[in-house]
Amino acid sequence: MHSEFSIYFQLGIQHIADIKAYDHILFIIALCAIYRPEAWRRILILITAFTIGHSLTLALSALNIIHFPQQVIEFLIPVTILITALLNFKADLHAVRLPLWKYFQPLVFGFIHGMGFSNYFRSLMGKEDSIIKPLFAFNLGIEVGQLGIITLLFVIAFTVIRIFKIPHKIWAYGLSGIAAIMAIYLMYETKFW
Amino acid sequence: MFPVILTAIISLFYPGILTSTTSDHAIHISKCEIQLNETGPTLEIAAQVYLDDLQTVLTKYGFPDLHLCTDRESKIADSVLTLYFGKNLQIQADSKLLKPSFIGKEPSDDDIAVWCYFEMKIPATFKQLNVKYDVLMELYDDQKNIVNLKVRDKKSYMLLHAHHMEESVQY
Repeated sequence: MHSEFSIYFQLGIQHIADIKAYDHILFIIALCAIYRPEAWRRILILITAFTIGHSLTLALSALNIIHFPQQVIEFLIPVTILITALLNFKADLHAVRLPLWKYFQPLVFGFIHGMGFSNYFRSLMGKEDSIIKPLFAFNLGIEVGQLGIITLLFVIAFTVIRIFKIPHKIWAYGLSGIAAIMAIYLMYETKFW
Repeated sequence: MFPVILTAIISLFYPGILTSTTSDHAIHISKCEIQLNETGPTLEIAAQVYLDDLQTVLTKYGFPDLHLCTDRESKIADSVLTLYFGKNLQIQADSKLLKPSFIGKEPSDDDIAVWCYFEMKIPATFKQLNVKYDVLMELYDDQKNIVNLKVRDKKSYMLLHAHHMEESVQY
């Protein structure tokens, strides 16, 4: 037997970690691709910005305060992945400080992903009296799932760079390249015109 | 060149990643709300399924296109739904299988799903309810069905899927 909380928490984790709906995973990969495992503090800030962004629009659209056409959102999600991946090729891989806009980018892109999450979340809702509790549990599930993905990505990055001695540049550009190609494919799939 | 090669390698191991579609709604969720009405007593049931998936599964069982929730809706639509839900929503009160009667249906707010309403007569006293709700699981292996029950001040929730199609609650 489950509580309401655990059901929506599970659904949140399963939603972000679903390999069949890999767009959110791909965004996180593109966002983290160019940072070495040692730069975990920087990644934490970037991911927090993304989290603030998507939590905000998930809540606002789940509560019907904002509303955007879902088809447009489904198309814009791979656009955020493509832009993030392409910017990686222009980034200074040895930068000591990141320019301020770098932290705003995941925040703004988070707004778009949050509206994508809300589409799925709304499909989970029935005629419930209140959506606040399920919404909180679902969002928390998404955050935990996201942390899991980042941890896994770090373990792989560490293995590839440190143990297999693959140059960081090849790892960073390779990963960004894959993300970009897959994003273009997703854009083609979700084009709404 | 390197990214292209890597993508090719990944798709060798997981070809689905390039062919899986995100353009459909691709949300394989159904909801079922069950409430005990002490006068009767009856279980009042509201179940929501996506219209396109529902028609696909009914076609699979050999039924014609029912044009559900449209002006052209087939006359047999309600009896087909009763048959399908009778098979895929089974509730037992202390191991006695309850018989559903169809009450009505209405499209969801966004018109892509339908809410079906049923009633089941239930004995006045029971200690356990077993709910099996496996609609659309014969269609999608990632179908997830959420059930919530309100019975005698007790709220319970179930998350059912292909490997876990039924659950029991004690009262």
